[in-house]
Amino acid sequence: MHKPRIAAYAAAAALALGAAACGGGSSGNTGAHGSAAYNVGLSGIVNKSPATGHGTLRLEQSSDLQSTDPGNSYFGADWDVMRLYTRSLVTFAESPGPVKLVPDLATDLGTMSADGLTWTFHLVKGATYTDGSPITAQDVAYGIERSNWGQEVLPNGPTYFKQLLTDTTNYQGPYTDKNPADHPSGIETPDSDTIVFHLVKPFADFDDVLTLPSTVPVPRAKDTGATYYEHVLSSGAYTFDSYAVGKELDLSASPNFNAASDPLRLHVAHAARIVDKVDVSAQTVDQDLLHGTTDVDQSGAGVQTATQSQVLGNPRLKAEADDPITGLLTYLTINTTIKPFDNIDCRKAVEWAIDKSAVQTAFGGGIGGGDIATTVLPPTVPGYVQQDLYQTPGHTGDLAKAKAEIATCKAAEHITDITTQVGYYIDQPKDKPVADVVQQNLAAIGITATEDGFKYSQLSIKAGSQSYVKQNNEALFITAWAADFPSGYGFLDQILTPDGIKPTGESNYSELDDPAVDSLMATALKTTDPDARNALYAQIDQQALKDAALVPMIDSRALMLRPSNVTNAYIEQAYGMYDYQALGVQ
Amino acid sequence: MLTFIVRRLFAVVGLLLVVALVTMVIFYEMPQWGGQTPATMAVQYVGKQPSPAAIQGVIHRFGFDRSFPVQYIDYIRTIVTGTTFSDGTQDIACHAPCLGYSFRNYQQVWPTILSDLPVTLSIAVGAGVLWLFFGVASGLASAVRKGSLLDRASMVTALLGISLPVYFLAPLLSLPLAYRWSILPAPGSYVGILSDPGQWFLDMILPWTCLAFGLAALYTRLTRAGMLDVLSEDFVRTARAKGLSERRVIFKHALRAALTPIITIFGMDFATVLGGAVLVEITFSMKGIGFLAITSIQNGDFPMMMGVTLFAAAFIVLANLLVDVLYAVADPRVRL
Repeated sequence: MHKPRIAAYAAAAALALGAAACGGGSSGNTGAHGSAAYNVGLSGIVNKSPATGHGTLRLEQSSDLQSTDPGNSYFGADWDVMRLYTRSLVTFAESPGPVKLVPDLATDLGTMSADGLTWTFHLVKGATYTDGSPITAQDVAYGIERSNWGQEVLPNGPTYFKQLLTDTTNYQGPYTDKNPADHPSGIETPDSDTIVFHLVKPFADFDDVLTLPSTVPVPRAKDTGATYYEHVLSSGAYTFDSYAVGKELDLSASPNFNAASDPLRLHVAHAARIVDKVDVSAQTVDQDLLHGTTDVDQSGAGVQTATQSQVLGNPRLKAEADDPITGLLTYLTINTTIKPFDNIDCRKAVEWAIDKSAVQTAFGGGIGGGDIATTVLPPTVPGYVQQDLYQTPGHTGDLAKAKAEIATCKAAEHITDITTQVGYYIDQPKDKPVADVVQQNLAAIGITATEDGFKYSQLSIKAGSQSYVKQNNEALFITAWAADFPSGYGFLDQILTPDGIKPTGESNYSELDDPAVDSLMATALKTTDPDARNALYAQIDQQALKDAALVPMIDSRALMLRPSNVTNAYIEQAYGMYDYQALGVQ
Repeated sequence: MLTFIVRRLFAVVGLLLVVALVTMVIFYEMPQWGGQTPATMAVQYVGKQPSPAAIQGVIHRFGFDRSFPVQYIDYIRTIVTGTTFSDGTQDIACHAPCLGYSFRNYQQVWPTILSDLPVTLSIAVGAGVLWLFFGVASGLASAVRKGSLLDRASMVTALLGISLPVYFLAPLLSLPLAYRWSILPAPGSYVGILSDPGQWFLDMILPWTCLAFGLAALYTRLTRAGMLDVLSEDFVRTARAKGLSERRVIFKHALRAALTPIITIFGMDFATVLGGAVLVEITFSMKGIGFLAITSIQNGDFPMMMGVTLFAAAFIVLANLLVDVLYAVADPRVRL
């Protein structure tokens, strides 16, 4: 869902469309030596080195982690860091390019029953925590239970399991129900190596959900609840030494990691120590990156605007930079239940009216903002197919078509004037200029849109509240979205289906409830062949745009630095930032 | 003298109670005048899909469901008597002085403040020595050689120092010294004085310089003006007439008189810095009291905000008391 939006809005530089393709000049050469060049990290591994336990890898970021507890964070950058000291059942392959799922604590990607409702996983042999004690299926189950059912203590993490698994006993979570024999009925652990999930509906993307840190094992006896974040028991290649809120996180290569339990070599401690300094001022992070006093910006936010021109203007620095698509889409939602936008012609008028080229400029341009988006799915999410239903030359919009649509709509609704409100976040500096463009574009076709700026923390009582948007006639909202896990379902479900329609805390701001979309989604979730499933996601994408429920505007990019002493650097598309567990230093 | 101090101590307690009241009104009550409700203030604590029960729980935890006077009295009582908090899994005893419990970090406010204090203390002591020494020395030199090149140079430098904010001076100094020539550690580096005194000293040079520069400039001007006043006093003329050496006249007689108001101001400035040298701490990413104040405001961490504000206020009020007492010693008329 929402990655930290700061990350997404950070300065980005782009060579307009197709920058991703410019990188790997040597056709996906992953073993390159001295291959540092601009954007090579998008398609290849820069400074590949097999060295282990060498030196100190220094991370820095201008904010703090939401939590180091694998059950209590919703930040993509946190999840990337957690892979250093934890193992989940499934994870992402350690390679650049399109996202690929591989088993981590599990032996394989699971066995699905014929009806699609039961998934069985076995744990790899010999996996241990950093203290040498064995990892059991019960620990994995407990990790899921505490993060999904224990939200009164750990409120921040995702709760997909609570939504997807059966729970006939109405389990109250381990902090309220302290009886260790009680569990949700959807999780079974017949022995210490086996975990069985019972789903409420077929769910072909289940492996993607298992990549979430919810599946990191936590021994019940070691769980201290809200303060577990201070001393997480490591299951990964690095030991969790210490973490001080607002200061730093310290990790060191774990002496007890059993490499035999990791046949894919996903967890290799390339560095002897890792120090992650948090709450460092953004300017300092940039200066440290430029001058070799730190190795990676852990937030994955990209450099500041001022630093960006410095990097792009200096060939040596530019060769140490990558400019990936972050996976975050900025878009305009059109509420399909608020008059007159319940009329599809009025919504189509908006689709034609928006000048995306002007939006891109307002957003910071190709350099500093991102690419113009014409689909709901970003190019990095499986299921993405290049398409543009409302194609106009130069993406500048088509005033004639927009006016024709608005005339049809007005005639059908018997109205002469259309007024509405457009919501946007005042704490996202790029959103106000975008709202201005939207306002002007709509004025040109006779829609008076008043701007309604509010803070992100007020979302659930403003644009995220059904009663608020209806009372205030706020049919339009400029917001941003990223997938919790890189699958069509992970990106689309919460913003296009009734799953995301809620009285408060809404995420389907269009309130789109299209049976065509819903049935495509249901079919996709039953489709086990990934290619066929992804094709269905592309159809959902297109159907939502046929419904004119939202206007995709910008796929964000962020300019990131990988100083020359950093080894094994590449962009992990699942997170839209460097893969931290692969990194080492020379 | 004792009655004076006791009377003053009562005033200190009263003042702190008022500060607590005002802070509480600002952070707890004013948002509600601006349209917020306890639910909207609580919602940021309950994750993405908040259940009404969870929101209610947070409201109760912060005491938003009680009337404001009750909240205030509870807060004050807790400071004196201590209390017990529950983080959902276990009970946490908070002993007096209990400034509350941060449900954002799951840490107690008072120990957090104490653990951040050494950073602020390091900044304040070093910078204090620097700005007092350089401020007084250059002010003195300017006053004695009024109109000379030295006087003009030091006045221009003082003007510069007052005009250059920390967040400008810091990159200006750290770019060449830390990044280009690597003479000093880069901003953000800090080790405790006990773990490595040498490194601590190196880490502190830039923050000290940046903080002290502006204040030293101010003290230069104050000292110079004070000295010029005193040098034209009768007792200085008398001292000179007695045939005392110029050195003796200036250091023994004039400077002593001119220094008194400076010490007063120094007490206050020093206490202010102890309450959080916000700009320096943010610019250099040093995790002291000022940094704690800013992050807790950004995170909407009410108990932490309250605690830091009270703590900083206490420093200033106590410094004021100290100055008053010293004055009373020096000048009996004050005690009346």
